[in-house]
Amino acid sequence: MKTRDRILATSLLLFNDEGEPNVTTVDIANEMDISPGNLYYHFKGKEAIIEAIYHNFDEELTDILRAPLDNNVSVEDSWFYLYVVFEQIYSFRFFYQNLSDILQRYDSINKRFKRLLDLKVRTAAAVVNELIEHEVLDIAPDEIDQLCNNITMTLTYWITYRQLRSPGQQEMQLFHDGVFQIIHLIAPYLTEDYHYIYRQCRELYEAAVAQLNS
Amino acid sequence: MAKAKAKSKTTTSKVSPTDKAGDIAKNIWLAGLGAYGKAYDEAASRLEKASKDTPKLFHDLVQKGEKLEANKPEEIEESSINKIHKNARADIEERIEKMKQSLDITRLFSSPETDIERLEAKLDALTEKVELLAAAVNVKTKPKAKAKVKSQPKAKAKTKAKPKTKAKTAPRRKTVARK
Repeated sequence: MKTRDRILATSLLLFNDEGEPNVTTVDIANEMDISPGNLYYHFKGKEAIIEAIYHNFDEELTDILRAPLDNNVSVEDSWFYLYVVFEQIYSFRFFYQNLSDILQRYDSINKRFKRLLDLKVRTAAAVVNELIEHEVLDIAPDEIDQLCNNITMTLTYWITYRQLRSPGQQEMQLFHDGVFQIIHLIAPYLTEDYHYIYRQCRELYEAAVAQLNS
Repeated sequence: MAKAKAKSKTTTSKVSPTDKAGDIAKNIWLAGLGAYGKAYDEAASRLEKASKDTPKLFHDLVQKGEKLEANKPEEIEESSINKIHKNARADIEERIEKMKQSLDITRLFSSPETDIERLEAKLDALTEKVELLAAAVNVKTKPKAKAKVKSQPKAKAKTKAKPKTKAKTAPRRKTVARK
């Protein structure tokens, strides 16, 4: 791995573990066993590092969120798809944990993040509409927007919220809970023929959690 | 680096202006490569020491750069961000696949028909279990049957020694709740 990438990877690790405000560039250099001068050669300060990390995250999540819009995710894969979204957000949790602070400090990130939120809503709408088309869901058209915003809110704040409620949970537990939470948002709208999906999801969720705790 | 740039202009002054500019640009690029190959702080300390023979240091770096360029120029040129981005595009299907494997849940979104199949399989397994238990209550059953029926040890333990398993499972549940 090149030094630049290693700096980004190490920074992300430290930010996630210690919290972004508690990590300095000297900490990052020390962790990597390089001189602060060498780090400065690649990034002229923490701001540049955060912007580069955000850039990578934004591109990756954008690709993930665009997949359903381009019909690249089958209905059967929706469940796993949600896990991937949560995993991506979790890998970048320092940002979500300190969201309003970072958005205030970085105008460029602020703009991009708003676009990302917008994309989350559109992606949720695309998936919901697809499920309506397959007669899996039955929702009044004027309720779709509320549902999609609820899904977006859960996706965005779930991990932060869970970590506030019960700190130190395993990441897989967070994902299981988050995915199941979103299934719960959708469940009231399942058509009769597809009620079994909720039952299965509950079964799967319980089995997965039991497996995790065994 | 700024000093070095200025000096290099004087050393290549014989060539035509455009060539000169090209040469300078090339040399700066090569010097950059040289610096890349060398640890930055080492170069900095050398720069301090050798502030008087900067041209020499510069030429050293150009030479190192030339070596590096001959070796692997394209790897250095390719932006790491681009690489990551390219990977991400091909990633989605792969990531979903990986997630599937790590979750080990393939039964999701199966139809009610496969549900019935699952129940039938369960029933078969249970029947087998009962038969096995009837045949050999105290003896360890054949390994073949054991592998087939996953939940067998549990059931066996239940029938064999009820109080023991109760004591075992009860505290486990507690720890789960605490978590």
